[in-house]
Amino acid sequence: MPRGESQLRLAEAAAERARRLLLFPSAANLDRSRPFLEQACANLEEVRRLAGEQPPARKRELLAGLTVLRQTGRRVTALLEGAARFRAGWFEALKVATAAGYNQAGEPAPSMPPRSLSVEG
Amino acid sequence: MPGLFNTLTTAADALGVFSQALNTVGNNVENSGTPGFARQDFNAVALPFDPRMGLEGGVVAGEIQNSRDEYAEQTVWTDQQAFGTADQSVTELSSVEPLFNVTGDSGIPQALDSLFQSFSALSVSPNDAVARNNVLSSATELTHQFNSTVTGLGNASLNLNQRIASAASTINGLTQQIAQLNTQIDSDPQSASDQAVDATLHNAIESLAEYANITVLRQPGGSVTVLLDGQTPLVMANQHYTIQASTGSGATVVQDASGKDVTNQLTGGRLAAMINIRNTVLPGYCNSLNQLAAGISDQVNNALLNGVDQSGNQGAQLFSYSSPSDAAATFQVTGITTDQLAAALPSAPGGNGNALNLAALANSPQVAGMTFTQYYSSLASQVGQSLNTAKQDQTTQQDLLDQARATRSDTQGVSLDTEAIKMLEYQRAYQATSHMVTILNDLTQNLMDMLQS
Repeated sequence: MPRGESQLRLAEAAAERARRLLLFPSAANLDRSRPFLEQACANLEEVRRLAGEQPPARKRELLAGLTVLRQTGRRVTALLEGAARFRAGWFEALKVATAAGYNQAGEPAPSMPPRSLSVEG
Repeated sequence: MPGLFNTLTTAADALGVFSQALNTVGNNVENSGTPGFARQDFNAVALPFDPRMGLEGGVVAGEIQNSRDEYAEQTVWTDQQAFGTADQSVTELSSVEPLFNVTGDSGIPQALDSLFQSFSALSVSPNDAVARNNVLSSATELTHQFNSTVTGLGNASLNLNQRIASAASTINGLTQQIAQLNTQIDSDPQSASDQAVDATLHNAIESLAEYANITVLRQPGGSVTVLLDGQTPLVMANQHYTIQASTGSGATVVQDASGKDVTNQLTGGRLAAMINIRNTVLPGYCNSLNQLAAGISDQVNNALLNGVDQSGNQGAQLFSYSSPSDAAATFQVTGITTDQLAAALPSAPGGNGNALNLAALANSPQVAGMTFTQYYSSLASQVGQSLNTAKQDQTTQQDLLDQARATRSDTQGVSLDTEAIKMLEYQRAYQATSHMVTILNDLTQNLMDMLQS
């Protein structure tokens, strides 16, 4: 087993737990996912410390594990971006709804810009 | 006495209201597993209470509110469409990838290797009948490998045509269902708030979103208008407009109900993925195989024409194909005989000069700046990479779809005030988590770079 292999597995497990939490992206789950991501980073630092001088075959094994971790990292990123995108749109809709209410179909009504009329004569 | 009577009436009304509330709860429980179902909330409305004015108070049933949030629905539809694209791409590319071997122990790469080995063997024994026969049999095997790979791509294309027709039929079935639901909603306004109708309608739209990039517009009465890519009507009021796939030997075309070509409007969903692979990806692979087959044929033939056969005559061509655009499908060995193989150069009849030139073709750039083997490997790895990317997209899109569905449940019927208060909380949580994800990704990449160096 290459040096750093067990730490890499721990990093992958921690990132995977963060990913699972982000499938339900409440603010609480976002907060809960952070310690797992921190744990994954700490494990990776350990891998870096241990992985330096190893035969090429062992390095390849570690690289295979890192490829899996990179994919999990991409999935976590996509989930985080997806959740942020949703919330941004959601708050935009709420903002409009708060200002202009809802239309008959239950969707936020378009807000009308403030207008004024002055009559001179 | 009137006071007691009023009190009893108020109590009886209240019992009726609670009965309706229980009915709503019962409905929610009963339908919770129904696809497309959204919880309904029962609102009891308090009546004014002022005994001096004769107002006895109590409650009456208010409107039942559907807690479905259209913004969350749109998000699910968008993610459903992206998942459909990725999932279908994986299905189609998985059936094509086995045609391209990258290991070199079978298929075109092995046949290519055998051909050039046979040229090498010919250079060692230029007048040996067995060596000459091996060149012809290796060449024949190589042409068969090209022919069968292109046939495989052709079969994949034919299968895709069937699936494209089937997908168009599924889309038409769903739009018909939505139009029927629109009819029901328009003819009976109560239907718009009917849980079963609402669930069926949203379920049909969600299924449709998996197949095509649709835009859904909710009409004031509760019915929906469905457009393809925001422009071509699929459903308007009680009318549904069919699409039709026209598949032939050329590109597959999708037409709307009026016969107009709307293929370019398909940008997402299963049908778009199939069209992309049928019209762009597979022809691209075929073109590369054509270029390779034509390159092998031309270069080997040129070398042979520059040599002389066992009788001292100019060499004959080994390969032929009908045209560059279908070189791989028509790639074949000519009627050349073993003694017509030009192993020698005109300056040294009976020698091995030209056989050496033929063998050397294997190691010099011949097609697009690459050797034949490199060119094939590049094509095979491109096929593998496309499948790999599609699989990664599929996994990511499945995550995003699961997340969108979870978020939809989470945001149904929420209070505006509560959500507005949460905004800052979310912003802080996103920023902090995003920072950690960036660190994790950077660390992973740095470590990979370190191990690769």
